[in-house]
Amino acid sequence: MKGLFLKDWYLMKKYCRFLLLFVICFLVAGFAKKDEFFLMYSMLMVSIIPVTLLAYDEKSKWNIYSQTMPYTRRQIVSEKYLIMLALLGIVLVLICIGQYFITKTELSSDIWYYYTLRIQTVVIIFSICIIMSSILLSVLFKFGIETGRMIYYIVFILTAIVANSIVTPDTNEVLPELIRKHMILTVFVIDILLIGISWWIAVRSYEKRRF
Amino acid sequence: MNALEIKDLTKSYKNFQLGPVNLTLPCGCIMGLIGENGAGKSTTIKLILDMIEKETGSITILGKNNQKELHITKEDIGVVLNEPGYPECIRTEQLGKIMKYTYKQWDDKVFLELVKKLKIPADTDFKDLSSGNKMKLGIAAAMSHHPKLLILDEATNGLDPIAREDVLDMLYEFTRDETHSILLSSHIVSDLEKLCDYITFIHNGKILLCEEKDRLLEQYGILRCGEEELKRLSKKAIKGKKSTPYGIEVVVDKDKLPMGMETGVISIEDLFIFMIKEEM
Repeated sequence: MKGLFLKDWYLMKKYCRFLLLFVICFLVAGFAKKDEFFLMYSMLMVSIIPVTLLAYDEKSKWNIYSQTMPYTRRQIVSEKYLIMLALLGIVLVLICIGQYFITKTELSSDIWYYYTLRIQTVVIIFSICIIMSSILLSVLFKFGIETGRMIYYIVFILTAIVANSIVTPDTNEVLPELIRKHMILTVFVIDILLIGISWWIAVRSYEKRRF
Repeated sequence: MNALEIKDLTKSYKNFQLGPVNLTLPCGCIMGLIGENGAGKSTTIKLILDMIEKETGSITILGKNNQKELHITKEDIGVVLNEPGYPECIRTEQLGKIMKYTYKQWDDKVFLELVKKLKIPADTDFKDLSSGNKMKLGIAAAMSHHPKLLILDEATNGLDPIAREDVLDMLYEFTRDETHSILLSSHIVSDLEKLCDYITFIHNGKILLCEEKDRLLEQYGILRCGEEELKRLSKKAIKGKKSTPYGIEVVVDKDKLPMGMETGVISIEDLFIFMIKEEM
């Protein structure tokens, strides 16, 4: 898959450098203003990159030409998922490091407790980005960019409506004690399951897709 | 072992039926797949590469079934489709690096030699190359990983005469190795006539003939005659005819002609045109 990663690296250097610049700016703003909105937005922007790369593949007909090369469709799908995880992972690590130093400068005691609380919110935002990206990638691999994008917007809006009616300020209180105590771990387990399911659907769809 | 064997291959679309296609490309040979636009050449090639799903039949590439581990077999296949699909922002050197990590037997030296020989600009983004240069880059990439089989789908169409001559020379040189073969589809019959050992005519999804080129040129001829002579010919002998102000031109199977009838030499292009028009 090295060739696929290198190809996407060249595409990111050309087409995503301003996006990456905005991500850095939003990260810096988020830390400076201690505003989680900016941190969330930086993750959302990074989660769009694999989708952008997929769109460029379709535009240039690389998605057709790569079928003549010694790549399996599983490898082609997996490469995009790995890029998504790597980019979101890097941003997550940067935010975690940044939040640690901010918490340490602000507080003199119970640093770890408050740091954990802050990270919980970041992890939940990370999970939302991972889930939305995973759903989007599996839809795009099945239907292609044009149709897939429309389906995604419909799913996104419906999810937002459902989430808005279910999730309230008291949601945390009604969760079982075990989950509240191990929120980060629970969220990671759910993420891994959902990414796995999404990847499996994307691979199966792409293997059946005909060019 | 044959480079390519296709048996009873069929594929249906709403208004088009391909097949059954039966053809065999022996190792060390070049086969030209000739057909008009929409005849089924690209569909056949996509079926060979498993880019679309066949309905019936079997395809064997270099002795291996194309349904089993085709990604491994593709290490030995160089492909140029009618539109090279490389990323728009990529330059020649970058493409070389991508292909180096794609093919195990990628040869940078061969790639650079071909780029130089075909005069492909090195410092231009792929999207800014002319269609001829894009095609040349595709051909250079396809030939730079020591493939055993080249599959070219209308790869010479957009090339200027000099570039076309260079590419045809390269293709001819490629098959001097007896383990190398080429399947070349085109509607520019004159290119195929110079280069190919085998000719396959495809029209409206049907294979009209699949034969050695030299045998075709020996077997078929052109007869210029009047109505009276035309009546003496059996229907089996006639492969196509055309009325002109000076008489009738008939493409005939020489084996089925009555004694004493003299025929002229026919080109593959004329044979193709006559046969297609007869079918229509």
